[in-house]
Amino acid sequence: MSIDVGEVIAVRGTQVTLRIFEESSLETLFYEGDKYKGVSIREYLSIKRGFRQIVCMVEGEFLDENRFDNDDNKKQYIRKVEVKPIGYFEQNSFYDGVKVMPMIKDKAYLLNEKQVGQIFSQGADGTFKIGNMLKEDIPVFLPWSKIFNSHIGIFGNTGSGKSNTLTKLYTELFDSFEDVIKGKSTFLLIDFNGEYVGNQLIKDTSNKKSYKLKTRDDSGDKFPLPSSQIWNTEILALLFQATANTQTPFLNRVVEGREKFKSNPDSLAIYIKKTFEHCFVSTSQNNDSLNQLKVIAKHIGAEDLEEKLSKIFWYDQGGKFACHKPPPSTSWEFFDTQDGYDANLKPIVDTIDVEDISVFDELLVRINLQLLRDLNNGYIQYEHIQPLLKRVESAMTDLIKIFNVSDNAESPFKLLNVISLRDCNQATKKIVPLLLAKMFYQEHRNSVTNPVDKTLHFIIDEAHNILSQQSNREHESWKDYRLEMFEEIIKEGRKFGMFLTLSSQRPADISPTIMSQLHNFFIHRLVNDKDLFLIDNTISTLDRMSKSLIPNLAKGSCVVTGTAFDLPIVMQVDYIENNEHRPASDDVNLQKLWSENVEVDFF
Amino acid sequence: MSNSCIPLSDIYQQKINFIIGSGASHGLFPTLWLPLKDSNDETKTETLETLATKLEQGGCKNHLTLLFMYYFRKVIEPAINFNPNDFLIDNPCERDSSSDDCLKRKVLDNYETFIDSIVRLLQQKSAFSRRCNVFTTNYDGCIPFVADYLLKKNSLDFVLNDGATGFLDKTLSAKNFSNYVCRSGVFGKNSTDIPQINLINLHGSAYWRKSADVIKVDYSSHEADVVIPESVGTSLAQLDSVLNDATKNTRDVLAIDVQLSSQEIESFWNSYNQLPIVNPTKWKFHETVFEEHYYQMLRLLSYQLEEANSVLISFAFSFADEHILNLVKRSLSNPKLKVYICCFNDQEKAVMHERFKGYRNVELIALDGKVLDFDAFNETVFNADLLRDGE
Repeated sequence: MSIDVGEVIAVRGTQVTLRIFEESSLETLFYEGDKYKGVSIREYLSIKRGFRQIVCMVEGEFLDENRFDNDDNKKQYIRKVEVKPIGYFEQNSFYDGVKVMPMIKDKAYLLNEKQVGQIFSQGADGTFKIGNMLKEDIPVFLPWSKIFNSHIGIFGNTGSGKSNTLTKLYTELFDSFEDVIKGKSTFLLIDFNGEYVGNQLIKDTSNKKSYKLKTRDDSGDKFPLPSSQIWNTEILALLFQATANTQTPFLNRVVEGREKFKSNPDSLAIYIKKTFEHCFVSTSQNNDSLNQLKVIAKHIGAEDLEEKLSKIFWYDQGGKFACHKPPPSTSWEFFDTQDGYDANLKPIVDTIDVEDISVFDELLVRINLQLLRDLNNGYIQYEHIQPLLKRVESAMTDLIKIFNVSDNAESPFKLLNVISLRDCNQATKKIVPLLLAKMFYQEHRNSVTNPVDKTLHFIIDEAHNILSQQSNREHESWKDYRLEMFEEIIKEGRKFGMFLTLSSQRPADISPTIMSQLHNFFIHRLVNDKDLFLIDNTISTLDRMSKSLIPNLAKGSCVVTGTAFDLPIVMQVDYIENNEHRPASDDVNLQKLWSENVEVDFF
Repeated sequence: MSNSCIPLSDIYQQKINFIIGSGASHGLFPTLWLPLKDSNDETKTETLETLATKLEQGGCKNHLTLLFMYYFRKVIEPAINFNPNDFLIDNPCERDSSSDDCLKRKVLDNYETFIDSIVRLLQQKSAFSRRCNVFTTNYDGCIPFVADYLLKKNSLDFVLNDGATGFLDKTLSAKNFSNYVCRSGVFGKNSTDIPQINLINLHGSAYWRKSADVIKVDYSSHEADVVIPESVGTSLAQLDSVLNDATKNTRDVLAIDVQLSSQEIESFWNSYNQLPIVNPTKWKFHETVFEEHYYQMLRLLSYQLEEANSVLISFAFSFADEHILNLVKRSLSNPKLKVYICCFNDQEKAVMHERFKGYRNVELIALDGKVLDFDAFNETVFNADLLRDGE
């Protein structure tokens, strides 16, 4: 057996009081070579009840006021501790939950380190270790199979060790299983601060690809985007923040129009030519369309046409387009008849060649073409679509810098893909994660079989950047859309084998729907009342004792709780010693920074 | 069941006992280990113990006597004549210098660190339990000398209790190990205790002398009247060279020509047996006074190990003494006892593993591939650096 330290003297509800014998106040005790911890707060005791051992956690201790007077009138106090049952051992395996309660006079024993380790390592096969228990210093093995098929949340104030935990978690995963999971799972890490673009996480660097996206200039990496993703109404709507009522249907027409004539070679060129003809030959020419035509000419790279168009102006009296004939003639050219068009513009329009046009240019051209057609047909109001055009144009300048669209069917993605948004502007930072989430989620959902044969893991460091409800700058509907997208992933994704890992310093900012759907939590120090309140309300598996620890946790220690764990564990995550494998988020060493360059030239 | 350090935080509240063997004084005094090969098993080497046992069982009286003469000359006499003042003076000695004096100085330095570690650890214990026992099978006076030096330096407040009381004549008694020094304020309003190390010489000491029916302790005494005839000089030299030759074996010892008259043998043994020390072969005191004290010391060891929450740390001790081994083994049934055994090297670890197989409360301490000498013991195994004040 083990060290007998006391006996039960009172049971009230789930509150059990023990009388403790003298020597158990030592810090460490040895029994048959095993190490035991003395009885102090948050230690574990077992109370023997038949063949079961009820495991209890010590919640408080006190000296009993009732003292008995000895013969020599010396006062003697009894040390009492209050414990709460948390589970029981039966036939050497631990089960959580209270099934039987201790009774008075039952003996209490200390639990040795092995048993304490056993309590916290159920379901784990002893291979996956990211740290030790904070107090007992016993290695904790996590049930990795239960963790990685769930949504994970890593929370904590800045500097509390979130990034280290995230890194350690995945480093350990890749260390243990990299060869096995290759080809079966894809990991996608959204890295807002460029912390993971080095050799972090992965063992074999050939399995990792970092994309350092840059919007400032054209020097950054380009993220490969299958063209099928671009010609997708939902994605386009997302990229250009199209409104649901008019702009999205409009985009849909653009996409469908392309799809319809896709098999036809030169479909775009023919479409452009026809539209030009249509615009000029029409009996009711439209002043606005000239602008669109100019944009089209510019994007297809037809310089002759551009020059010609620049000379065309609106002839108010006739309500049509006109153009000066080249000197010495002083008369005007008109295009409103077929002959006029054939004579003056058709030769130039016919030279249009769109073979080498880029996808983004094609997109812009098609949007403008569609607009012209729709305007001429009177389907739409120009004012409704025009904001979209402006957004498309401005978004396009960014998108060209960060995406590389290709028709290549083969997936260019490695086991781990890191997308660094460090050098991107705010708008891109918001759109890209959403686009990727949507793209990968749809693609994954469409290709996955039942039962799930592959998984997709979406890791978002600093998740409050995109999952925040608090942003005031954004349009309400767009924000809703963004959150809805992630809410859908988090609600439905698990069934398709798509899992989110969020790391954030402001859990209170993150949408409550998302928070409540997370399964497992690694909670570092949090001091903000709002955050604590949220944690308290959304995590059902957190107990009072562990919760009270959260504001006082040291760097790197965290409370681990969730569906994969029967009991909350307070653990110290191993610090990643190797500089190369640590996320680039270390504190600034001012001592070093300011002590260097001492040799300042004073003269 | 092996580890490479003794966690101070785990043991400091326990009742601490040390057992120190001859390896600790290695450098100052030779150990019982010999390079000589065992003639029955070439993979093993002899020790003075095994050799003496063999000679005695074989009835080789002459060779046995010669061996003990050698033993006296080589091991006991240097311990008796040892003058620590030659080394303890603050002479600058390079830490890694290999000169003989520096090596000896280093041993004393290690003792100093060791005692310092113990005292710092004792200071962490709760009031009125700041004491520990150091059992040793060595006859030398290293611990008392170093303790004396430390007390003179006035850097550490502690008491070394060697079991002796008295002023002009210090006499030994086992009951003195229960003495405990308490320092109280002038008005009796407060009292503190001073860390105390009980030094128990399990195999006697070179500084003990019998006087009537008591044992006197005199650290300034440097004489021993053991009669070794001049004529054996060449035989002793021969024996010395054979014993320290790794290519020779047990048979070569018997081949040595020894010419001793029975009178010489008798007068040697008569004088030798006056020494208050336990021979390496087996314990045998011819004086009841010594014998009684010997029993008392062993009983003290036994009692200490039977206590609840007790820890025994062995260092440089091979448990080759059957009676001490059996005594410790018996006490291992005490589930609240924890024993740490420091093994000099992998070979010794294997031996210890064999000796203590099946005892769950024994933990072997070994440094993988490295030897665990006194330096390593102070540096990694029993390191109280964190308890020392930064100076």
